[in-house]
Amino acid sequence: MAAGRLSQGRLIAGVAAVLLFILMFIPWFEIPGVEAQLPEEVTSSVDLSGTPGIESQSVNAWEAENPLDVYLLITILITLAGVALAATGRGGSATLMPLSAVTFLLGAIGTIQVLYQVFDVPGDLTRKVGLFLGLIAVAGIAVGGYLSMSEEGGAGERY
Amino acid sequence: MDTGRLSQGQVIAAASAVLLIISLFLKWFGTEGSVSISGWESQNTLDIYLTIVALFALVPTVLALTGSGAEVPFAPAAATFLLGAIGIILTAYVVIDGEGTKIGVWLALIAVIGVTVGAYLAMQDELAEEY
Repeated sequence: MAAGRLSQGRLIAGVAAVLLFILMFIPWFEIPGVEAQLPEEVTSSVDLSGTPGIESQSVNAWEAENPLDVYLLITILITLAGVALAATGRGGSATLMPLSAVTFLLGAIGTIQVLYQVFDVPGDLTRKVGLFLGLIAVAGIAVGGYLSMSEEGGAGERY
Repeated sequence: MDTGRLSQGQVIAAASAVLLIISLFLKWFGTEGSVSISGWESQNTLDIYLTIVALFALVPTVLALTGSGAEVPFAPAAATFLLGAIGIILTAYVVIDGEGTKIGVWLALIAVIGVTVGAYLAMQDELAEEY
């Protein structure tokens, strides 16, 4: 595998895909516990640690009840498959859709979905850093796909 | 508007896309004694995704009906097929994972399968025209 064969766009998309995969394991949301709402005399006099729902709980992208994790995983796998094919010089010769266009399309739709989650947080969850970093990473896949498309000029390697 | 310009695949995809949009307004989840929620109200991003899939299925149909030769950077039928196939996986995931599924989510699953099949047929037509 030769990284020198990779275009700038593919490299950006590949790095963003790996980052997104890692970021999906860090907290995206927080479920607020009831501890903060209890009077101080209660929390100081009674040991509530370990009681379900008392303490705030962080939720990563996999744990959030949303098919977004499945979508992002598909996007990551397709992006990395494109990078691997380009790096090994086995781009193939499909007839309908350039792989860079697929990467751009999935990245762009992923960006819309994560952005939607940023503005429309489910229930009374609060946003955590993983959600914002995930948004940047999935946008990176879209940008990488777009640059790849531009570099190939629509006539290069086909999916 | 000349519907004769449409291929069988485009008609199937477009009709399924309309059904898909309608399904989002129907009840998706709800159990006895609780409030039922529609596709739009369920707190996940599947509603946004399915809307995008439906638009991808409808745009080529509109382009074909109007006779517009608008250029897109990739074949619309192939893009619709890809997004539809992913849509089937995501909707099936929600059906399996969700509690108290109602008619709307099942209709959405059928509709997104219809979009994918229609897009596949349209893709075959495009390939046949190309060669």
